[in-house]
Amino acid sequence: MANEVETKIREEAKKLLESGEVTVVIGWGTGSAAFKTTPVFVEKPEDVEKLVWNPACTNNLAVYLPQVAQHAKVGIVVKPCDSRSIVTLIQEKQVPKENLKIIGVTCPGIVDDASLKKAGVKLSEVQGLDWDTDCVVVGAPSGKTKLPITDAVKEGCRTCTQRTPVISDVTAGSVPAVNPVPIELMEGTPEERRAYWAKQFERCIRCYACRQVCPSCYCAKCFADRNDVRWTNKKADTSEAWMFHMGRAMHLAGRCVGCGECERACPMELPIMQLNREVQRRVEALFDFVPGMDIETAPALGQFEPEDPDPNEH
Amino acid sequence: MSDKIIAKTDLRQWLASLVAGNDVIAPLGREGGPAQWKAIDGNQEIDLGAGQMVMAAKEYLLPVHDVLWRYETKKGEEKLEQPELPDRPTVMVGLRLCDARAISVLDSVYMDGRFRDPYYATRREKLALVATVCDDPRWSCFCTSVGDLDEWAKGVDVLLTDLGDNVYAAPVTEKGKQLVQGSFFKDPTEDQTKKKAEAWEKLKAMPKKPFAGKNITENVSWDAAIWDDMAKRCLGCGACSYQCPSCSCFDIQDITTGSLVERYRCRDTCQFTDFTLMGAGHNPRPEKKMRTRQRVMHKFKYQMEQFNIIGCTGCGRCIESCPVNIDMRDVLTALVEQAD
Repeated sequence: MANEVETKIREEAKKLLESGEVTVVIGWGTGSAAFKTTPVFVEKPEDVEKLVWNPACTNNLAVYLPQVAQHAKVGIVVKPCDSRSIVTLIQEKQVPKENLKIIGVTCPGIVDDASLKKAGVKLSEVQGLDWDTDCVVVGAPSGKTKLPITDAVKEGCRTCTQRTPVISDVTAGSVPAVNPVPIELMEGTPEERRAYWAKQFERCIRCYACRQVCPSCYCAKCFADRNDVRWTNKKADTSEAWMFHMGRAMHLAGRCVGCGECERACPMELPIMQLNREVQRRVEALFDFVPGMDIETAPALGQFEPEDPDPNEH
Repeated sequence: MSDKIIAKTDLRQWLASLVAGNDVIAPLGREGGPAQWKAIDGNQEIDLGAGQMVMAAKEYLLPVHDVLWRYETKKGEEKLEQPELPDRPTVMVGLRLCDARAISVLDSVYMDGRFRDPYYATRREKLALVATVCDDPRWSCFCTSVGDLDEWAKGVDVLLTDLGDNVYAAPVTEKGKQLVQGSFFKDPTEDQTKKKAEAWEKLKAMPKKPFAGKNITENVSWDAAIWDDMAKRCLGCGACSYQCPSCSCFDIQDITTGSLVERYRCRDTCQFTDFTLMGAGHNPRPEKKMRTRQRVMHKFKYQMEQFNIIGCTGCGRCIESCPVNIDMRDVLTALVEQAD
């Protein structure tokens, strides 16, 4: 199922490189295991065979754009969520739109180590991954296993409602028929939630993998790294981690597209997406704004109207 | 040494007996997240063949944050507190050989003849290691390609091998012999000894990588093309080195409030931009390429030159934790292939 899309990605990448419209195409390449892919930077038309498309294409490659596409013409392969990151980056003037050629792919949902393990897959036996209607197909020495998509994919992909890219010069793949599961809201009294999050933040080791994989976390100097004003100490304890994660969640208000990369990258299994989703839910309720959907709609925090609701009163 | 056999059903009793005279650090499950290394009270269910922990065994010797001292003034009274370091013997159980070997690497950094870090050394000198032979290597494992397991096994105090219903306990040191005591230990049968040897050979027979047996130290080249490739993909987080069992770098920071100063040590990594940033603004490693190269060069060249030990034990954590799938095995393969 992924093959036609992969062929199309390669064709388009080849055209872009041959015509000189771009100097590099950023896409996913074969990883060091069958359930892994790795970002590739294809600079020559003959190297487009390195580009792949399969259920392990998890990286939100937009993360590279502020570094790579400021002063160069860049082609990039994006999933729907990644395309929303690009919209956000263009709006926030981190990437000039005219420097980009976007090869979009429709997406039935992506797997990662954790989601596969949760679905009962033994990672060391995985030989291949593909999609079929409504399922992810896992190849192993014992044969192929079909897992229902909503059981096998990353948490953020289970609830995803955006299956086609919002911005692209060309789009590969047909619209997948996948029904998202409803988002579970954060429940409990403030005290219960406080206790729950204290238990989560207690595990944080402050490796900053969450921040580094996030396309919206492009600050030249993160508040967490500043020592002229110490907003949060490097010490990996609950209250300091609390400050870091809450600070990050607030900075992502109206900017997080829900790609789920932060949660995937976290070695300590912090449920970071619960936090981000809750913040986005509130932004949407207050300002009727969903981040990264189109370039024309001004971001929630990028405009001010005197009649805007005051979050303190809600 | 006098090898012993213990039934799995007696392991809990053995651990309880160890707890009586030692602090016992073991893999302890944690709600909602990966298991952690923690002191046990002898009543918990501990899986000694727990497999690989997300956090390496260094979590005990070099906690993610370690308070060095705390100074407080209250109503004119001054108080200086020092952290509690262990005052009785400590036994770490359930670690893999790769993690145990990594402790030898850390020893060379923290208590090499010239320097003795009191926080690390006090914990380490009281520590005995009870390691378990792996029977189910992960997809990312490559220990046999970077080291000699027979040599590594000499660095632990007791080596356990899972034989199904029983566990084979082989003391390696005199300290280890003292730990393998109690009526629940029996002498092994010839068959059990044979099975233990087979498990060991099976582990050693793990498929080797192309760089196995090659002199990686000589092949780690400053100008290798792989550094550019890594730098393009690397996002500059610290997941690889924070989880690495042998990465030893730390930062020291002060927390100051009106009446309190707390000095603590925490993890730091050469992968962060500000790791080498100096007070006056100069950064000797301003480019990502220099930082990704540093991590590999340090493990395979500088540590070898300084301490005659390779700073990587093939545990595979950096491979599993890397968000962009930079695989140390591919890096080493590229380095030796370039040299060939």
